Amino acid sequence: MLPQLLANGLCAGALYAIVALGFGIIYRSTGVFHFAHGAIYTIAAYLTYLMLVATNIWWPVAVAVALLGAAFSGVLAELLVYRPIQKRRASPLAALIGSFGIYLFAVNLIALIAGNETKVLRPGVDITFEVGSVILTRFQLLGFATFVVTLVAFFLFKKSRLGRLLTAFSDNPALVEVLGWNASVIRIAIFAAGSLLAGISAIISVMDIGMDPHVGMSALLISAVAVVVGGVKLFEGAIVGGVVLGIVQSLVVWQFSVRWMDVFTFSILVLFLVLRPQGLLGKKVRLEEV
Amino acid sequence: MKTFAMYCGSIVLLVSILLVGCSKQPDAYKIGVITPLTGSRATYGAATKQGVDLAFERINKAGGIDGKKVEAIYEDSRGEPKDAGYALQKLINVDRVPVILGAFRSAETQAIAGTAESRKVVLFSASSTADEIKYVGDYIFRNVPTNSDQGKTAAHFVLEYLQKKTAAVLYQNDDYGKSLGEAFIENFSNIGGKILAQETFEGGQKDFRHALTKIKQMRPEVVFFPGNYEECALILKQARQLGIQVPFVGGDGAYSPDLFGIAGSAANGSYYTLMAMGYGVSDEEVANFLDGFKKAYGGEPDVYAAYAYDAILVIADAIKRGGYTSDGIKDALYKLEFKGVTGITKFDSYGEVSKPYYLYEAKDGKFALVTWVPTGSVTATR
Repeated sequence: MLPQLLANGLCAGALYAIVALGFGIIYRSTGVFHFAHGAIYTIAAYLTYLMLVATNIWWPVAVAVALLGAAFSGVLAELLVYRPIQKRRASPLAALIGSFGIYLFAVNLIALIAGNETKVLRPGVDITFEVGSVILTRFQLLGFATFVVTLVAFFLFKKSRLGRLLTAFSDNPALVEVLGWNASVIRIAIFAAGSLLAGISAIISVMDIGMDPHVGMSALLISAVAVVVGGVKLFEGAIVGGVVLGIVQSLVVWQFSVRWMDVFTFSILVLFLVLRPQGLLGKKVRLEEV
Repeated sequence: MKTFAMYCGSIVLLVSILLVGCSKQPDAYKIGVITPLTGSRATYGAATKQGVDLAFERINKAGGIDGKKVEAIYEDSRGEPKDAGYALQKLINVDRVPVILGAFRSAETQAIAGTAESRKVVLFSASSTADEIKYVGDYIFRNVPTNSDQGKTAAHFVLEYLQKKTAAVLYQNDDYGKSLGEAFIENFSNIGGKILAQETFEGGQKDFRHALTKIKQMRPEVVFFPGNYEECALILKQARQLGIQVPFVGGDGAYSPDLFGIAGSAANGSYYTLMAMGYGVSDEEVANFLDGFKKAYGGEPDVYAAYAYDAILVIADAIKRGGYTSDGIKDALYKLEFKGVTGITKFDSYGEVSKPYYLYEAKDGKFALVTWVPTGSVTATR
């Protein structure tokens, strides 16, 4: 039983990590607690569904449209809500509330158009693969493979010139601007990239288990917990946090019961906030460095 | 001057609204109906509406009640307790109906029953089966039997028809799933079965693989999984993918044509307890109903249409006997005995009925009635 639970946990954790990485990049570099990340997750899921089921289009096109849609929605949130708020030098709380507003608006709009009910892309039993005593669906495997690819791509990006720019921007946006970069363009790129990651996670999850308009909320909550667990100060924190959460959840089921899963997830959040606010990867820093 | 004019205007408006509201004898008897017309449970609302409309058509064709037409005022609950609350407020405060058919889900009915009771409005559910509703009060009725009966029937079915002695229970963690799961566990253990595992799931959950992995490990011969159709369908799909091929037995909450839209072939080999039609008790009424339904909509009614249809006829009968007031209807309901499509409807002092549950098997995209004559204490099925 344990190998199967761990495999499920790892595959779930891989998807958590991808969506959390998107959330973490946006939070770390723009300071926005991007509640609407959940809405973008939902939008990507429904675009995939719309493309594949309603228009019956070739699947790579459907995936591309969904990813572009996610990135575009992220940019739209920045342009229509976060930028005006930032221009007025409002507190981060204003951005948070604005973000929550976007979430509610988008999710209710989707529910209005597409209905509240659960939808799956393919009814019936999907293709599965058996390795020893472990059975995984093809989309669980795909999710894990995508995670590995995302991981490699992210580390290559981080080493590149643009990656260093992102780190620099997160540490001190004003200084980056002084050096001649356009901060608003960087922010747009960050929202596009973060939303793209949410889209990737959403699409695989929809193909694997299905969706309703509210799936984005749990994805968002998991992302936020993963970022805190891994460490807010580092982009890699979200990745580590996501995988750790996935595995911890499977261990909780192994030792206790499914009904304790959420209790443990959020207890971990509280424990980290109180005992290790810098997260698993973070180092303690002096106040001046923050 | 302007404000004065606005004051006068609003007073005139208010008075005219009050006058309209107080217009005395209604020219038609209105019955409120709270059901999910939109949202994920809209198929249930559609079935309810078919049954209700058919019943109204029949009553009005026969001359109404005491020469007065009857009509329904539909309010959408979207399957959510909160929205059912809004619907109730509207029906009580704006339409001032003395009697309401609804709500659909147990959670909805439980959310609004207290208010209906304190406002002394008769609330009559044709589908909510959670046990707790029994104790809310005198104005709360239902023509469906409770979950404890349903769980008992399921337990006997597993042991006697499927001949399986070990079961795992995976129930939805809400009023409905919990009471049904507990009833099954209690009865199954009492008649010699063994419960190997107990797990829960939440409404809206999408990934059930952790719980199913645990259940698979215990090798039960049957899984009892009371819950709503969306979650149950996903459970079936993921269970079959994990290689769990044993029969699944669920409750009436999973009975929906949309189950197959999600579970597809994974639904094969699953069984559902469902409120009974009046076969053997009121065959004539059943035949009449099936015939009328086919003429009106073409096709077979589902059981929720039948119960809603029957409920309206019972309410109409109560209005006829007790008058169009909530107290009159309430008192008449306690006294009447009605033979209809769902068998005999006769209320005990809690406003509850005693009726059997049937079993349906999901097979190739359809629910088929299982022919099963139980031995022992369960009163069930033809």
